[in-house]
Amino acid sequence: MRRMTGLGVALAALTLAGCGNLEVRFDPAPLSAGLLPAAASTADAPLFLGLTPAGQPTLNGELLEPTTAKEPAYAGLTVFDAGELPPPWRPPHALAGGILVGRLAKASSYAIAGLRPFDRVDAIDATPVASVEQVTEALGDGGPHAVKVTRPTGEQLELSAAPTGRVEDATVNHVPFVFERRSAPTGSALGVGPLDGLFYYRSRWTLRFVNDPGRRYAQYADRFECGFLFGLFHYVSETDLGTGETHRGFRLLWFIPFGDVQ
Amino acid sequence: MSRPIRALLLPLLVVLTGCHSYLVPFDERPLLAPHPLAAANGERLDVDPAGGLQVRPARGDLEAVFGVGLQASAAGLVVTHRLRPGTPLRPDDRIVAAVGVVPPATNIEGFAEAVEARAKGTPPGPRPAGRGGRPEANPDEPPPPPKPVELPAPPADAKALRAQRAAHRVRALDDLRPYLVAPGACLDLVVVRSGAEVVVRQPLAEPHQWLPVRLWSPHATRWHGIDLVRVEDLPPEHRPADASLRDFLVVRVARDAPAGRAGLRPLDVVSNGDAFYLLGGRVSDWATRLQRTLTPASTDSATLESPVPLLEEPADDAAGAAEDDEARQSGRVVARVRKPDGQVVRLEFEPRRPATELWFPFVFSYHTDGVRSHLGLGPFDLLFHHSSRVDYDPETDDYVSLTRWSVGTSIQGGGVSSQAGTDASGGVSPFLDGVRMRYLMDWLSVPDETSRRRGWLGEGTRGAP
Repeated sequence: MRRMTGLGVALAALTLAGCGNLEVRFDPAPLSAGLLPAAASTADAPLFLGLTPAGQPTLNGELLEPTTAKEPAYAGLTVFDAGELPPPWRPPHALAGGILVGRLAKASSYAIAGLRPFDRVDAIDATPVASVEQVTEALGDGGPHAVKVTRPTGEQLELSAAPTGRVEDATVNHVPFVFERRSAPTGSALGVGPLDGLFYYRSRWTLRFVNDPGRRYAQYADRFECGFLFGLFHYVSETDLGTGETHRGFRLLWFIPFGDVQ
Repeated sequence: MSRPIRALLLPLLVVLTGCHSYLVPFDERPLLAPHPLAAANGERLDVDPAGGLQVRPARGDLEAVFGVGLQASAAGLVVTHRLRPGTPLRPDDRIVAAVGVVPPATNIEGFAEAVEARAKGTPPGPRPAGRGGRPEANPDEPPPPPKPVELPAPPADAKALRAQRAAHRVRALDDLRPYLVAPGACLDLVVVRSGAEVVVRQPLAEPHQWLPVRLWSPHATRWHGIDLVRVEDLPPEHRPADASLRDFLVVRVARDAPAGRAGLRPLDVVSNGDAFYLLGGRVSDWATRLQRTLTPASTDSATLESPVPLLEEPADDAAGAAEDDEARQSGRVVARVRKPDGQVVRLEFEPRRPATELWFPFVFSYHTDGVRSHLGLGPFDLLFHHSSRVDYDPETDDYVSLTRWSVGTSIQGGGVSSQAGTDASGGVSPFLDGVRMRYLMDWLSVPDETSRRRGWLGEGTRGAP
């Protein structure tokens, strides 16, 4: 019985080895677009622009069919031409038309750099954009680009991104009881030992909800964490990409925390 | 283990090993056309989800949607005549103002929850999502019927309509044309009729007519998962613009069609020469190739293996011709098609071949039909396992390819590939062969998927024609 118990524990350890949570990918659902009031929206007769999961615009749930184009590999986005919408249905920051971002993958380098659904794309690499095809062709080469956008709040900003791979690229290698390695454009991780207990590190982008319309209710952070000896020492560092603030913390002997992030 | 049980298990093991098939019937469900095709008379050709060809008005054709002729004037848009009976607008009506009508905001799915969440400052509720963008809903099931939407009642009078913030004056067709982006919506119009202003509700749904077509050699093209129509068989006004009479219009591409995986879509236009190759035609030697150009009516069955007589040479560019010939020599299909936007795309793929199923109990099993494949060595694939499948994702109009393998049940790997990227995994797991477990789950779903596909078509289509 003692031998069977020991064998069972060993088998469980082997089975579970490498099954620690070192995931570095985002789920495939796109960034939440929320609802954007149209230009003619009033309190008595609200008109809200939304997006379908495929990136097509809707107005109060009714599907709209302007010209759209998608670049699913490197930019992970779909764009549509707001100039084809009737002026009362256009968002306030695109009254004169423009190319708006529809579906945007969470793992898109441009989303991490600050792009959000319904942003108006004004220029790519200082070249003004005039069509949806121009946007997808420019961003589809997988190279670094600078994109000038206008937010629905009217704020203009320029963001740069250099995709390191396609948005759904990922690699997982594991040997139970020995190591587990994961990599994706959104991060990388390595764990050594059963349950990644001897040593592990994970460096990845994280996305969380923030109740701030100015930040479009989504904020990315650059998070790094490492630990060894089954959590005897655990260190975390997180940098908020929106504010630039860095928070650090570590935990010693499992129960003794230091710092302001865990 | 007792002797009777052993006696029962051993033949069961022998019988079960290799005695299964991973293959399912060819998926005949049609791909959707991503864009309509301009016809010679300006209207657009489109295909419905069942693969039927239909004619829709030209993009932005307000008169076709309203069913009346319109003339712009300084005082508004004047209705000159009716194009079809029963339209809400009448001749001599004058449209002076308009407002778009969409469902109320409460029609938005999850609207109330989203408003509540924002008020509380909490994140919105979880959204369903599948790996690789595939929706959680069963893609093989027909989409649920759209829920009935109640539009707001029309305004009582013109004054009430003009009081709406979204209302505006109408002087030209371009004042109303943008509303055609919402074919499910309506327009409330202020119309001067017999000297008085009235409110008229005009739906924006596009009228369409079915176009009966004669398929070109369906007994042969159907094997490739393609339906073609000769351009010259279409009514002259509905022929694709800029297409020659010898060209072919693709009206249906099955989901499992190799050409579909390579990028062929309904409403692509294929020249006669490229259609010849698309359907597996091969010209065995240069002399015969020359003969084909000199005697265009010749249909020598000894050298031609396509039902499409080669009446003209494909339009090979000088740089790509050698590459095309080399690919064709290796048995691949190379053809160029013109997309509805005018872009010419080169397709290269392996042609469809009859399914192969070889198995020897307790030793190996091999099944492949170009869409799914399985190779197993040893009983229950203990020595080696490899399986793959390609599935169409209608949400992204993309094919997702899944591959997995295991060696000795311990070394495992696999990957899922799509346009958006490749998710690859590999490693060692001596006590848990997840690869074969997932294959087993796949295999257990084969009967359901088979009945689903056969139910759609009426009967199975596996095997040679």
